[in-house]
Amino acid sequence: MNLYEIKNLVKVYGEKENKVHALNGVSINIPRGKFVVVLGASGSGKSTLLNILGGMDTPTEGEIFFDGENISKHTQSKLTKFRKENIGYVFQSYNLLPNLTALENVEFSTEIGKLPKDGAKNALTMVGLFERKDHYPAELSGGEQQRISIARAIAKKPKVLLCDEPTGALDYKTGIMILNVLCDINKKQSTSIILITHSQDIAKIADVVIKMRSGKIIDVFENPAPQSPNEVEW
Amino acid sequence: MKIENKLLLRKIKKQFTQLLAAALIVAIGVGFFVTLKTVLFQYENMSEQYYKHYSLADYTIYSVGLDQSDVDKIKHIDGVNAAQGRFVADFKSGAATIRALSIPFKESLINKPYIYQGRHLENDDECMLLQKYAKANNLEIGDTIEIKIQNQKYVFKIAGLVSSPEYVYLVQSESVPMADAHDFGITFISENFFKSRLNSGYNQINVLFDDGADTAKIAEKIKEALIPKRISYDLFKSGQTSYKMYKDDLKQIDTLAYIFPVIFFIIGSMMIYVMQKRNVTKERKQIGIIKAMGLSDIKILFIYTKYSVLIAFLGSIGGCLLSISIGDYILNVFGEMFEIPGLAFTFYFYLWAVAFLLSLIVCVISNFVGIKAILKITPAEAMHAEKPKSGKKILLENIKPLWNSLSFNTRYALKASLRNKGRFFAVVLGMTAAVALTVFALGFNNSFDYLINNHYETFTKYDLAVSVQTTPLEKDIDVVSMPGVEKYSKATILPIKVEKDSKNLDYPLLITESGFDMLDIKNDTGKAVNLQDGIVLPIYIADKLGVSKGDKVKISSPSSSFDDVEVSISDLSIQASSFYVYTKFDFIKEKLNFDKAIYNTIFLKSNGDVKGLSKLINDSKSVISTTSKEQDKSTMLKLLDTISFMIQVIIVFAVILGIAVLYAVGIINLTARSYEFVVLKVMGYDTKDIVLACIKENLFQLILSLPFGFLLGNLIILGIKDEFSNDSFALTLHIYGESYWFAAILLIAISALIMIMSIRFINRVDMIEGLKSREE
Ligand SMILES: Nc1ncnc2c1ncn2[C@@H]1O[C@H](COP(=O)(O)OP(=O)(O)OP(=O)(O)O)[C@@H](O)[C@H]1O
Ligand SMILES: [Mg+2]
Repeated sequence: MNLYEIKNLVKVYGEKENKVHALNGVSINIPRGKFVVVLGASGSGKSTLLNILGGMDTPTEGEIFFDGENISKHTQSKLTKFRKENIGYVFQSYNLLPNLTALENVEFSTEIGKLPKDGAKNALTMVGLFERKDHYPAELSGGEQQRISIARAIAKKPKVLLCDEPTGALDYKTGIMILNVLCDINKKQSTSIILITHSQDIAKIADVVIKMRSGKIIDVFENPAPQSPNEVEW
Repeated sequence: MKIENKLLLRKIKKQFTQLLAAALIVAIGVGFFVTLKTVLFQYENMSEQYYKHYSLADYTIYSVGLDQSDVDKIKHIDGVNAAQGRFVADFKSGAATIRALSIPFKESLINKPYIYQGRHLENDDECMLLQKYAKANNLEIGDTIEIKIQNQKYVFKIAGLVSSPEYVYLVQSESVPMADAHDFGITFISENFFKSRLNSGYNQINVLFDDGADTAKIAEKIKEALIPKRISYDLFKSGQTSYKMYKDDLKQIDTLAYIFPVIFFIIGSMMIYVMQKRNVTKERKQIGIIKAMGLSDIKILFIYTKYSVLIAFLGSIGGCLLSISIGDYILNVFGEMFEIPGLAFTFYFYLWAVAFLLSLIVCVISNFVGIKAILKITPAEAMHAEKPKSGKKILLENIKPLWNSLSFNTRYALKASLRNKGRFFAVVLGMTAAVALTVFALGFNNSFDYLINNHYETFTKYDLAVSVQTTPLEKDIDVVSMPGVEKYSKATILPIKVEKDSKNLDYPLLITESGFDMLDIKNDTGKAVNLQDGIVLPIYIADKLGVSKGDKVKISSPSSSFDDVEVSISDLSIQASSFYVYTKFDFIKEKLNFDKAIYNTIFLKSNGDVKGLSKLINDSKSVISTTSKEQDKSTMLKLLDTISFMIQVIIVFAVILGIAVLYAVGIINLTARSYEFVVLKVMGYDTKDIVLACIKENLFQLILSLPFGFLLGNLIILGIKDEFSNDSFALTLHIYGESYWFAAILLIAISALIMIMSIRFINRVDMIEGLKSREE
């Protein structure tokens, strides 16, 4: 079974003359365990799609099945439960809680998921930042903050990791490091990853690439030979 | 510790002073509530016990020439539990008046004295003295007091110091409900003394009813049994002045126990609302992240609710501590007015529980109103930067010519004030409450002060009121020809019952000679009342009876053997105290079929030395007692002293309230605007101008809150004035101008204090840090 099955998704923002069709009939199946990249220009609807996939938002029309379960008609509380159990988020702007240390930020996630606490430490080790566990976000660099945010996302052992331009705010070298961490997670834990970018080059590391324009999917293709992040240049 | 609690704890650490300010307000509310309710419960319980164990009489018959056979007759009436006769009279002891109550050597059955110290009487030459009087006059056990009885001096040795359930309030008479213990005392002297030396029988019989007996019916039977003896007066417990005042006081304390906490709870809940609303706005993104991570709305609401629970908790604890620390003091203040043995501050834990629950409910509800926006935050939206605020226009902007004529600075001040109306009005409300409390406290005092001064300066024209043996009206007694008497007027004071339909009230009837000018009795048009063709009632009594000018009422007086005489009300008088029903001999003579008029009171004006005259008069054989206007007035003013402590407490709390609200909301305003301040600073706007705008905003708030505060202060007094009026005085609203000034200056001082804090904050705003703070 596919991880996601999406049928004719429409998302409309605003009313009357201010109406914006952020998604305009998106249908696609996303396989399990793969590294999927969504590629598209700014304003093409990538974040909107990802938000709906993650249960942070609901579509105006259309259906979306996760593991065979239709989540498009879920109530807010069901969506919350859905997010808690299945989704890990990585945002472009890290979004760590400033009043919590690195470890606490990650532990908060295991706490919400009612998972054992040492999962947090393991996740930190996995992103290579265990020794910085007692630092506050303000004391970490952008790349480090993003790795903490990845640790936070994976600590609760989600079925899918949704990443909205995780390298968007980082320099080239740090970006590669982040992508390596994500690839690692995808390969070693076989966690599905859906990653948003507007960079053609980053798309080269994906198993599957989805191209978007003006709220529509214009192309989907499998990458026969995904590159390792180290080989990528942009 | 759970991460969510860590998160909360760190926030609390940052906002600790604000949180403390809110908790302080809750604490004062809880403190007031718990203290006053404790005093109330304690007072109620202890006095009920006192009345019960020391057998306050249920019913008293006043008459002359009663004896043991009368008592025995009453004893055997069904429903009568006990009856006991006694002799009661006022005598002089030096300058003081002593009321002597006869009491048997074996323990008394009714109105038993409570012995603090010493023992019960064993000899004729011993007495038990009211402890309050003894203290005021530095008397101890073993000392003697000298009492002048029928021109002969008798000396009594003090065997015991006591209090009496009859004299919880030291009621000397209707017009002196709380006598000064220095000038008026109660002493118990053996029944034997009165019998053997004075050959006097009883002039009162006290009765205790069986539980659940039909008291009115039994009273009728008692009166029948005493025929043909003439009963001058009969009184149920409910009509006894001291007991009535006790019941009134309970009501007053109860009213206060709600008014103040309500004010403080309103302000406290408003602070919580403002603080939490700001927190949610500030932490919108964080809430979004947590939601994205899968924490449910309920859980997030719960985390934010803990904040208010903490305030309720700290507030309740603080309130209870406050109550413990001032409770005894407050009880002492009340103890100045009434005397109940064994009164001490007690812990009523269920009261504390109620207070905690109450503040919890108030805090949690206001908290919820403040944070309910959490429900509307969707994680997807919150991830975006700040939700763009639609540039709100304020009403004034639509009035173009006016708006454009304002300086940029004023426009900025106006916009800044009104952009967040919740915070603006929170400050206005806090200021209003602080002013209202101050005006209330001072105004309450002013109203009493005015009442007393007005009453004794303009209403009362005599210097001395002398109670004398009953004498025919045409006959003069020696008193009137004493040197120093400038003017005098004879009058009769009779206890009567005024009846209209089913309502009836006991009041003294004052019958005057024509041309009586010792009291300035005026009606509401400011003219002298019409005493010509009917009786005159004070408006206070008329309201209680539900009658007005021209109505007919029935009056009766058992002592003067007239019953149900119908008279019309010719006028209503305006007065604050000394409530009499007035009439003239000329009018009432035929009505009551007086074969010849008599008098029992002489009002005197002295031409100088009132004290000397008073001494002279007291030595006269025909004089029973005298009261002097000056003494009555100073007694009343002394009473005012005891409430002045309460006034100070309220003002202190008003100041705390003002500072707490202005501080907490001020901090929020400043941090919320710091980005704006930075932008203005970066643009090159002078710090002085920013401060100026803040001062203008503060002025708008002052201009709004002062009149509302004045008004509210007036309304509170108006609302409670009836509770504080009783048969001795009717409180009317009268606030002196200086009280308004005081309240205004106090508020301006508080504002200035907070303004200094703001100026320091604005000066310190760091441009680099400030530009980042937008991100929050
Ligand atoms: N809350 C919203 N209200 C109104 N319009 C919105 C909202 N969110 C997104 N849009 C609009 O929907 C469209 C798609 O937005 P979306 O954020 O999905 O684009 P994106 O592909 O993620 O772009 P970027 O690469 O710049 O992040 C845009 O035109 C945007 O203006
Ligand atoms: Mg986007």
